[in-house]
Amino acid sequence: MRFRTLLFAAAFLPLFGQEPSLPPNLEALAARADESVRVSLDGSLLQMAAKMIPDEDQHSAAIRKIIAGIQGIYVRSFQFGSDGEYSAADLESAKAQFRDPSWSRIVSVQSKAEGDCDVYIRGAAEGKLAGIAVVAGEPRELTIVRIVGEISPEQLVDLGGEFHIPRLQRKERK
Amino acid sequence: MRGTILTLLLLTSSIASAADKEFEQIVKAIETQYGVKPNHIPLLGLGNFLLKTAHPQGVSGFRIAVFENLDDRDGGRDFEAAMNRIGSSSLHCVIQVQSRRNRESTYIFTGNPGKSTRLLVASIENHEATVVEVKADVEALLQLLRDPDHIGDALGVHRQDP
Repeated sequence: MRFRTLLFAAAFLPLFGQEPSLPPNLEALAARADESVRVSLDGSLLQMAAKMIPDEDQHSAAIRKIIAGIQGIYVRSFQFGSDGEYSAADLESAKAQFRDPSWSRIVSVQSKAEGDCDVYIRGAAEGKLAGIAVVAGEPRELTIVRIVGEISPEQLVDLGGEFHIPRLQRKERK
Repeated sequence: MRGTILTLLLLTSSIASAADKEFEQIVKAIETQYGVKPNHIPLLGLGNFLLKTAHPQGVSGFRIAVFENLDDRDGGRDFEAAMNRIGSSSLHCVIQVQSRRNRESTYIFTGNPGKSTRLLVASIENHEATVVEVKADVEALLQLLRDPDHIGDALGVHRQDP
């Protein structure tokens, strides 16, 4: 009987990954934002999305290859009509999610004109990456991206512009 | 043994029917929050019956509800809260866009991508709302999304060029 119950439970377990939840103060920003976007794609959906990417160019092929190693993409973005709609404390609480010892901040850019951008990585066994996160706070836009799976910072740049992930630029070495 | 099979069938069918309630839940939420009823679309029931039996281009179900003249004086905020409660283990909101600037909200839900899946889209724009649900083979659905010009053909609706 117990085995049968377990079998039933296993059959109807949700097949989707758990979307990371945001602190309540960040969720409340949606009420003040001119535009808010939430993207929540787990592995199986990403594989489906990958099939929709046409075989047109090298960039499309690269995106497909990146998606193959990803288990989830979660994006939360808020756009505001004027500066100062979100506080420094809101930005801090977005960053605080990644202060866990499993995350390491690899990039931190602070610009009065363009805002802050932090990139975090999560390590896994054998030196592989298990995830990457971006917190970008511009004067009128706050974006939090969390990608679960094997992805490098270089690949993150390639994913910019897809799935509502902000575009990142490679800095050319002199 | 026969009893076990019957119980299993009843259980799975009840779970399946409960899992398909999201379309009705969204329609009900729009009706409640905006005080409107969906427009009557002639022959939609017959078309859906044909889809369920013939499965043209892998589509096995299609439902649509179109609303006009939405009274959104105070319904918008409550509608968002209602939409945030929609979803189940078999249907998840993958994309949600809310634009107060353009007075638009779009919610896209998908089912578990197995051999077949469901796609449920709810869109509210100014004083109009549309809720569409499509059940189709994953491959057929992908083909339709790649080539949206043929969605009408799959649903038995043929475009008339001017």
